[in-house]
Order: sequence, then structure tokens, then C-alpha cells
Amino acid sequence: MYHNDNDVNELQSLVLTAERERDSMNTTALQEYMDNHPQIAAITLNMTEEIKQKLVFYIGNADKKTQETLQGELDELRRHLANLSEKPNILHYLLCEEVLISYLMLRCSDVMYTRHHGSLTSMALRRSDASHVRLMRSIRTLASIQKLTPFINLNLGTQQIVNN
Amino acid sequence: MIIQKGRNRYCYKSIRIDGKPKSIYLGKSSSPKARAYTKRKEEKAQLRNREQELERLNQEVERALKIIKLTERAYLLFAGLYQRKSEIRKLQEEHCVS
Repeated sequence: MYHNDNDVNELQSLVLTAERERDSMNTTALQEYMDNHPQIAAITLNMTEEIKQKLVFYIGNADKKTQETLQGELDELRRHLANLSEKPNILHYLLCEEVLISYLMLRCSDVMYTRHHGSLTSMALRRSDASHVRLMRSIRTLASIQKLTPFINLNLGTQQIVNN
Repeated sequence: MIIQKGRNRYCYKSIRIDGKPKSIYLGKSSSPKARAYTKRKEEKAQLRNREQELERLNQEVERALKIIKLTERAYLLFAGLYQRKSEIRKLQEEHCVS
């Protein structure tokens, strides 16, 4: 897991300022911060892998076969999402990761519902609703970004990465 | 509550009568009442552990998603876009493009 709260807080502050001001000065400051902290993107992507493994383990209830089946579904979904873009950039990759984690969260809440139907808390039900909304929202964002691929590739061209 | 005296274990149930705590003896830990009591306790402990485990997992997921979202927003800004109320907008032109 990514433990450096200072980095996250600083990034959050820079992103919020850049979004609020929408000028080149703040965007450049954010760009400089990301250039000076190249590990953030890599750590974020590693962290998503770790989280996905934990969710798969939890959903599979330590059963190898269930875990493998779920991993297969996840790989299939990843392939579908990766095929959406011919030249996937880091933004596309991050959005795909968000969709995959949201999908796993939804599966996790479904499993919780089935497994502990009699003793579900209202918090668990709210989480279940939230995970559904989150998945729909992440897919919508990915679709919106797909429409703008030429524009994004022009601006993020140097930051294209090879998809796994 | 289970009390160990020597080699044996005895089960008691704590209740309040007129605001005063009273312990009702349920029997040795091998009696049916005591077994049911122990089973209930174990189930409660399991539920609590499960809730805690799930809470930890949810916190980790929320944190990961927060960082992903922040990184996404940063790259959107580099690409000349930003997100407002779930809509993707261009930085220069203030019209919605989604």
C-alpha cells in the first residue's frame, strides 16, 4: 500500500488548485510535481494490483477454484477494456483500473449479501448501492474519455505506456 | 461469561434487575445452555471479526480509489481537461464535451 500521506495530500491540494484556477501556472506546478515524483503513477498502479488480489481473495473466501474463476472474469474484462484503445495512455490505464476495482467492489458486496443475508448491516447495504453507482460512474468517465482520445493522445503522447 | 475454577468451566449470564447487576448460573460449560451461550458468543465474535476485516478492506479500497482518482484528475489536467460534476470539460473552452 501507498503509505505516504504527505505526497497524497500535496497532490490533492495541487489538483484542487489547478482545477479551481484553470490556468497554466497551476497546471505547470502540478506537472512539475508529477515530474519530480515519477513514483506516484507506478506506485498507484502497483497498489491497484494489490487491492485487486485482496478483493479476489476475500470474494473467493480462500477457495482457489472460485478465485481462479473470478480472476479469469477479471482478465476478460481487462482485455475488453484494453481493446477500447489502440494506443493506451496512462489515463486510459488508470480509468481501466478504476473500472476493474469498482467491478470487484460490486462483486464483493453481492457476495457479502449472499453470504451473510441474515446479519447484514445498513452500512453494508449502503456500500452495496455506492459500489454500483461507482461502477456506472467509472464506465461513464471511461466512455467520455474515449470520445476525446485524439485530443488526449496529442497532449499525453509522451506518457503512453504499454498495457499488460 | 465463562469462569474457570480448577479444571472446570462454569457459565454465567449477566443481567440487570431493577438496575442492579445479577449473575444467573447457566451450568457447567458442557451443559446445553452453556453450550448455546458459548456458541452465541463465538458467533458474535465471528461477526465482529468479519465486520472489522471488511472495514479494513474497504478502507484500503477507498484509499486506493482516492489515489487513482487524484492521479486521473492530474493527467486529465495535463491533457487540457478537467472533470466537473461527472462531466469532462476542456480547460480553455468552458463547454461540456461529454
